Amino acid sequence: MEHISRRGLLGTAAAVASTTLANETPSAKVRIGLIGCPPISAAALDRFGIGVAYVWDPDRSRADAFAATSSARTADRPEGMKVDGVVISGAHAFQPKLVASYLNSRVAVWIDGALAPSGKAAEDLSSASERSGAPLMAATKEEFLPLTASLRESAKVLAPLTAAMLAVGAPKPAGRWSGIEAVNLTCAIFGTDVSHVARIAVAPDSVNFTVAIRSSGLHVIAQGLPLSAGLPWARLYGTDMIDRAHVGDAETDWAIYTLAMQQMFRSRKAPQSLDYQLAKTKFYLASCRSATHADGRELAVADLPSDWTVT
Amino acid sequence: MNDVLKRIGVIGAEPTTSHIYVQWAPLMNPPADSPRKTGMIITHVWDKDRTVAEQFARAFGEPKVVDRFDQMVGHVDGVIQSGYMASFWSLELVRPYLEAGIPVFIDRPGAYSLVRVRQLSELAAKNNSPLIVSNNHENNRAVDLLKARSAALGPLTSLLADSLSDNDVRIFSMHCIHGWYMLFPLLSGKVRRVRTYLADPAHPSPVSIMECENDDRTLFNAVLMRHRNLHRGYVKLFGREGAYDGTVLPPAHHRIKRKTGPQEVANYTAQNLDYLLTDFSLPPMISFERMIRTRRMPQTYEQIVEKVQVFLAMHKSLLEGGTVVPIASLDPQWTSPNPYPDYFPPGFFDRGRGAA
Repeated sequence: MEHISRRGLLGTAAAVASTTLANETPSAKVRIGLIGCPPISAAALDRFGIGVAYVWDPDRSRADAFAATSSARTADRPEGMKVDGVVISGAHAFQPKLVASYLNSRVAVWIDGALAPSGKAAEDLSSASERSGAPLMAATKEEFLPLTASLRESAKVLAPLTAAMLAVGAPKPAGRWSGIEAVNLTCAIFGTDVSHVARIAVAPDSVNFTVAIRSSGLHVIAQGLPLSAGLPWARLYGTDMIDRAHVGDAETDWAIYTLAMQQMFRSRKAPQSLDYQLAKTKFYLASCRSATHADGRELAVADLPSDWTVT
Repeated sequence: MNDVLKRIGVIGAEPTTSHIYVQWAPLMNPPADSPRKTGMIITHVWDKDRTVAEQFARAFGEPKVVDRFDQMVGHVDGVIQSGYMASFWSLELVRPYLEAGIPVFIDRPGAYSLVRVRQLSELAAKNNSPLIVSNNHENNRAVDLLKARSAALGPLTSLLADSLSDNDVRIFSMHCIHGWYMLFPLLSGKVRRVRTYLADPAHPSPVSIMECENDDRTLFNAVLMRHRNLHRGYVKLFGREGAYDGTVLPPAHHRIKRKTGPQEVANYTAQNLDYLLTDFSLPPMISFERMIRTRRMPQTYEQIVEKVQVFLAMHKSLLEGGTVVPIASLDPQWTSPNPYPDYFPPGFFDRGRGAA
């Protein structure tokens, strides 16, 4: 078993941040709008060269509280912010029209969560991004952790892999919609070549949800659990076995995630291709459909109707 | 010496399949130059095939070969039913001993239907006969440690486990069951519904998902993946307050596989075999000996029924294509298919209690 020390992880984040920001000046900050308050402070965003110009939240008091700690202004509505990029999180992530309006205005969009509620909507957003040149990214923070990169390398070393078990923190209550973190982590380690998926949980209102993924001889069980220390955790089976757990804290994780956002807003290049994002979105939607339409049985991702929408 | 050693009778002595031959008998009847590891000695043996029993006797210090499976009553302090292909008939095979109040150890699964395991436990309870239905995995130190630590985790949020499964899924009752028995000490009283499905039809590795309920009524999903591992089992427990894990027989001490002609066969080095026997196979025998000496059971009759009931629900789900099977409403008559239906000829148990 390998371990990443707490000191090492924090050191990594700090080193990456300082390296990236060393040549930046305060005037080079990108101006963004927040749609849904994130679990990170304006000051922390500012440290990574992200200046929040507007913040909107369905709970205006939350937006006001966030704005009070920064130079951001509370927006009256989520549309029409005059910014370089927007970060959409919470329940607003499933609003393709809102996302499309920004893309069509050449505003970069980072969605913290799933890209769209249907395959067709996801493809439409992908097309809008291509047409306008505005970068589009839908992700969760697990995809950017050092642990994930380490597991990806381990998967190559242990190839051919036959099975894996993953557990990931999932802040949202377990339910038919949940599971995006587990899906994204699975793709980040093993790729998006997923043929079948099942939301196998027999307790839909349990504190965790369980996704089974199968492709090319690899079988993965991925669970989303209530947030706790030591997650993500993974165990890989191949020519040998390894298991690894994340060592770190939420603040550091968000710092790493925020850095990825900053880099996209600056470079106007998303860290993942649109094809990759479409693939993981369809994978996620198929897992939702398994729960809602197939009693948790396995479904072929290729059979997902493009207009089927998570409701 | 026999006045301090408990006398054990063996039912079912097949050398290639029954655990008794490779794993448990060497602990009770060790070679002359090896130290004793238990306070038990096999004094009698029966097998449907007398030549098999005689082969066993030659290998383990010449215990007395008996002609009928009930002929050891009055001569032994405990009985082990480890007959692999005879496991479907465990109730019939141990009935004379339970009726005589003799402690009995039955290798998994114990019974193939709910009605039969209830008959088994009721028979034992009626005669005040101590009974164990178990396997090696369940009695492992890693499981004991996890059980002891689990209280510190608070309500469980998840259990992820794997167990060795390199045999045909059609004998689910004999192989895929191991992982569940390994988990039983951790999940006893918690499992409400189960689903088992075959992740890959070309690979004998069914996955079981258990809906479990904590004492505070919160639900969590426990997952058991069977896999061609390098070890016997692994458990990761997540709770509100943290996580623990444990490995049953770590891979460094597991059997070594080597090529012999066209087939790859399992082999043990002397060192690994010793580790296998002491770390993996000895704990259930110690538990059995303790039960014989104290007449106190490590698990209650109700727990034995529960353990078999969950196994049955798992197998039923698998055979029904992965349906969700509630434990409480399992049909008592539903029977897990007998993997060796022709092992005993018709009427075998009707004529003089199994004259060979």
